[in-house]
Amino acid sequence: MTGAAVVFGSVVDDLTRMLSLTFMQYALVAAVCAGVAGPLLGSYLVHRGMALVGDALGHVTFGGVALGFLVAALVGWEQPLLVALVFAVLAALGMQHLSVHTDAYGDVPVAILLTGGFAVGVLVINFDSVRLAGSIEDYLFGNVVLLSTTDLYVVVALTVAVVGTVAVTHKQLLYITFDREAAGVSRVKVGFYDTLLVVLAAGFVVASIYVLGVILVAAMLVVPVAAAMQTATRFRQSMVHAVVVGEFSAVGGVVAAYLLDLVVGPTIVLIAISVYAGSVLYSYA
Amino acid sequence: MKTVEVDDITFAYGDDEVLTDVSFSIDEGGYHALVGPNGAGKSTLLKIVLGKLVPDEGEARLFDETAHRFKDGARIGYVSQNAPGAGERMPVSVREVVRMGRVPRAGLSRFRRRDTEQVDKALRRAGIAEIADRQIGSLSGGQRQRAYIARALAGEPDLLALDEPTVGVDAEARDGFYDLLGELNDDGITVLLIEHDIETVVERAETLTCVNRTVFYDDDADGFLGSDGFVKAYGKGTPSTGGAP
Repeated sequence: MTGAAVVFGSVVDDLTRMLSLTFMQYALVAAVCAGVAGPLLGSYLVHRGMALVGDALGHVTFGGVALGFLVAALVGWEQPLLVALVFAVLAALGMQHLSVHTDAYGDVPVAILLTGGFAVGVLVINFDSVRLAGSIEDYLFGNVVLLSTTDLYVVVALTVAVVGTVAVTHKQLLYITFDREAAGVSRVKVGFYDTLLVVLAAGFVVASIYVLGVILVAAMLVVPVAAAMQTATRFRQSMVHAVVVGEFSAVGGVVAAYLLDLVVGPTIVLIAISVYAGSVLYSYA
Repeated sequence: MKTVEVDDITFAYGDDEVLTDVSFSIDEGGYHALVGPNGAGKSTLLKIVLGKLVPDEGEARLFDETAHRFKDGARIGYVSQNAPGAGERMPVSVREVVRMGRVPRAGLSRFRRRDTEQVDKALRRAGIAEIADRQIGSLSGGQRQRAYIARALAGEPDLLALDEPTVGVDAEARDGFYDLLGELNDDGITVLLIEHDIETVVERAETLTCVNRTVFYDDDADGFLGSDGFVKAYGKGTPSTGGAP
């Protein structure tokens, strides 16, 4: 056998072993979910100049997970992801309210959400009664080992909800993204779809916390879309390209991290950024 | 029947009153221009007419309903000055832009054959069918404005409202744009146009309202240049083209 054949055989053995491990099966399913929902939502958020909303919601989700473990310590209900979802959705609604009803402009509500959410998280995890399932780093940068079966159900349900809602409301989301003034004149409920978009983003962020972590989750909203912008001329085409990049990065990142013993979240992000760099070079060519 | 009725409207941004006792109306099928110096309150007035702002006093009516309560967005086609700004960097094709005009008709349902047919028809009518698959950001200013008027047409509107639609468009493309607008008006679509080029307005529109916080002229367009209202609204440095002094 040649050296290449030996290496190939070894990789196949590793992949076979990987697919037999329950936590890696969970990780791949969660990665597939992140790779589709993130780029879909990001396609609207990025073009509306809301790329950092995902970052803010990520930090809020950290606070939400911490509160989830506080709830577990206090009443014994151990569903940190669901508590995080409630917290993130409420924070997203609060951010929208601040944007519309106060004189806070631009990214001020985003900055308040980002720092406030993280402050809640840091405060709560330092309570003596709170015991995280993993380390702080696991939540900051992701750790697929923490995914329980219930968590996986939540992740899949959130992804189905996000994709289904986008499929039904795509026309309206595209219109308000492209030209919110004309959409408003056409009686498209701009405020409602603004809110819907950030609530869906909150759902995606919560669903992706174990794969990407709160610090890195925004990458899946932004980087695949940025790559797709280099290659697509139509919006639907750009969404397809973004999802392909997202899936390649997410699934490829999980597999590469397993094979090379790397941390999953950063691996996914760096693969996505590499694809983006390649797409920029392609656009120059 | 009146398509637009504005009755004694007063509107202020905070303490800054920008419109006082403004009234005018547009007959069904009319071609009406709204002119005035920069900062005269024209765009604010248009937003009130379209129901996007609520007047402090008075009432604006669209198709015989209070404008800000009017729900049938498909009946209004809207083309703005620099629509849509940052959105033009998006990877969006001309056809996708024009299809947006069908959103108020389709609602949450999928686009159906009639929607596709109307989009194709609007593309042909605006003379941009051959560039339907090009990215909107790659078009010239004149082509882009045609795309936006096609978007408005796709909704099968009864009223076309245009806020300085040819800013930044070259003279030849602008003439073509106004020829198209005239043809659409001949087909029965009511036109409400804000335009800073007074000569174009007087030549193209049937009726005209000149505002500068309040109404200075409201009558046939061709009598405007010889009117007191023209001089009073614009002052001594009256413009022929290019807006306020």
